[in-house]
Amino acid sequence: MVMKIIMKNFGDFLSSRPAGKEAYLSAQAYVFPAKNEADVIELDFDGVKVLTPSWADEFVTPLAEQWGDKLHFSHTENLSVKATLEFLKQIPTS
Amino acid sequence: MKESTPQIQKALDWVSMGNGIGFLLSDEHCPTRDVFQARADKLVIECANNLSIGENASLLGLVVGEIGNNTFDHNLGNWRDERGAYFVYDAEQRIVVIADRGQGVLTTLRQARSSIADDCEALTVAFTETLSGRAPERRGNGLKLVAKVVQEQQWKLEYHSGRGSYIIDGASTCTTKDDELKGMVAILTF
Repeated sequence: MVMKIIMKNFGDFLSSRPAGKEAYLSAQAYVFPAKNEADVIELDFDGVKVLTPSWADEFVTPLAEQWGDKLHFSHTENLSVKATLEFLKQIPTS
Repeated sequence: MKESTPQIQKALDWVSMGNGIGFLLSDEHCPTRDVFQARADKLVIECANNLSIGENASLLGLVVGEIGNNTFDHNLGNWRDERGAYFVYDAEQRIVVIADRGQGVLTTLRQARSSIADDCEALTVAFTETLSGRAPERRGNGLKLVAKVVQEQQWKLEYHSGRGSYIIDGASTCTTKDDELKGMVAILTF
């Protein structure tokens, strides 16, 4: 089962580290599925106007560490979303 | 340095003066991150509606967001006097100016790497390496992507801090000046 997460629900402008961290902590409590509740988790960026590496590093990076290749992305056409996700892929995770 | 405009001159005057309190107008001053973010969002909306900028407005939001948020990430509770950032833009002239009266890049990065020799080395590290003054927090990537976007879009970024002036204009260079600028001034032309 694919669990889709609508990123626009966290805001149109996903920009600062504190905001990214708060979004992650909130989603961890109320949005993210448990590992036995989904096979794949999909982040849908439809409608997001700006994504920065700082916000994404607080939200996407820990998800990537937990879900690995079972973390998928959709609607990444926005240039800042595309640039940020491609950039994060090049950074070694801890 | 880019030929001075009233926005650039005001930033330089503010960062250089002995006491910066009360110098900025309310629509130039972002005392908190929330105020900065709201104005940065407004910039993106205005530029997205400008046909000649269009979808590149999102990349402008990325660059401005990273630089402006760094001001708050690294100086919170440690301003020289007036807290927050000077942030002005002109969508028609395609210029953004951000400044702060914070610690500056050298002091910030020496928290993580005490061997950094001078402002130019600190600025070069900030734009090319993954290192943050807030180590061991996992940080220090934002300005690398800023540099990449500025180069790819053929924009120009001047980032002045201490005695260093780091300029991305095609190639990246850093020069050392005689005068020290306590804090930082960033000038983006796009």
